[in-house]
Amino acid sequence: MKPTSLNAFDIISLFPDFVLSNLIKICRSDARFTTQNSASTIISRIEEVASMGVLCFPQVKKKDGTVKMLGRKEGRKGKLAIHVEIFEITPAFHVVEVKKNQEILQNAGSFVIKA
Amino acid sequence: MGCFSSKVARQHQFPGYEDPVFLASQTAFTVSEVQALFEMFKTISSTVVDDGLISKEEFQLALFENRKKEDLLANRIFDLFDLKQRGVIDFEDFVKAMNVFHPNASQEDKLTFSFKLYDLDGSGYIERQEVKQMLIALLRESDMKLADETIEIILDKTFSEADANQDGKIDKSEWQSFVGRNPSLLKIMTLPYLRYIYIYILNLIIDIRIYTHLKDRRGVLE
Repeated sequence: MKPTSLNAFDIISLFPDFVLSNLIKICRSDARFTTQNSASTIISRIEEVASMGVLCFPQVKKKDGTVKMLGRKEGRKGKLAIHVEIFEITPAFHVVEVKKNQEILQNAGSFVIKA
Repeated sequence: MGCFSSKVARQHQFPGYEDPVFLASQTAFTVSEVQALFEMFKTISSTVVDDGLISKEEFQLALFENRKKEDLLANRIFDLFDLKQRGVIDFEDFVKAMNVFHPNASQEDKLTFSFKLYDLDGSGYIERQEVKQMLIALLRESDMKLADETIEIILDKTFSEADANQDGKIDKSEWQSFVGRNPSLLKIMTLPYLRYIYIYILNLIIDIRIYTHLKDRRGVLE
């Protein structure tokens, strides 16, 4: 069995996080938002987003303060999944945390609090 | 959205701002995706100086979370994003450059961009010395150690394959043929994660500020 032979350009593009992917790390990374909307407004707006054609999330599950959305299209790493969690600071002030494609991470800590 | 006065207001704050409907018509992005790109652009362009433009420093920060880090390819990419050659990237530049990495962008555009990317000094040729520079720079970053001799062998092999007229450099048409025989070389010109720009659409719908992971890491609280 002969392994694939790499040329210099193959090697250059082999490196993980080839430069431009890092730019999209901003997209890949999790996001935390603050909002002065109520929890019900937040959830209904997320559902609105989920139903927008551009995002194709046919499966939406709601439970307590979390919303899970599962995409329709199978990507390279499986289906696109988003997990949104809403933390209440006051009834009119919430932090929304959005995670992609994961098993829920253990760290619930360190979300940004707006003074 | 799209009314004249708000566009003018936007352009004052963000030089080079163009209507998302217009930019969507010029690129493979949908209007929502261009709006999402604008959110992303706003985040990147405000990190050092809030002037609505992405400077070299802000670009490096976005890529590496470290403004001091110099990188051959990152520098070259910045130059290529800087369509108007003014040392800064405006929103229109940003969208047009990101468009090349869209899965639906033309192979021709991807080919042209990749050629210019590797042509570090913009001479119109990918020279052996340039390829060697890139290899060495990337190897230095990684755990891979290659003897100088090995690097020369790799370069010999690459150039014997790609440099049809054996003049020590690869011109655009040689690059085109070479890529034609090795289509995987254009893989880097498509960003699979572009679909994740939806995150910025969420912001628009919920109407809130974005605190990104990146900002947290730099300890920016507001």
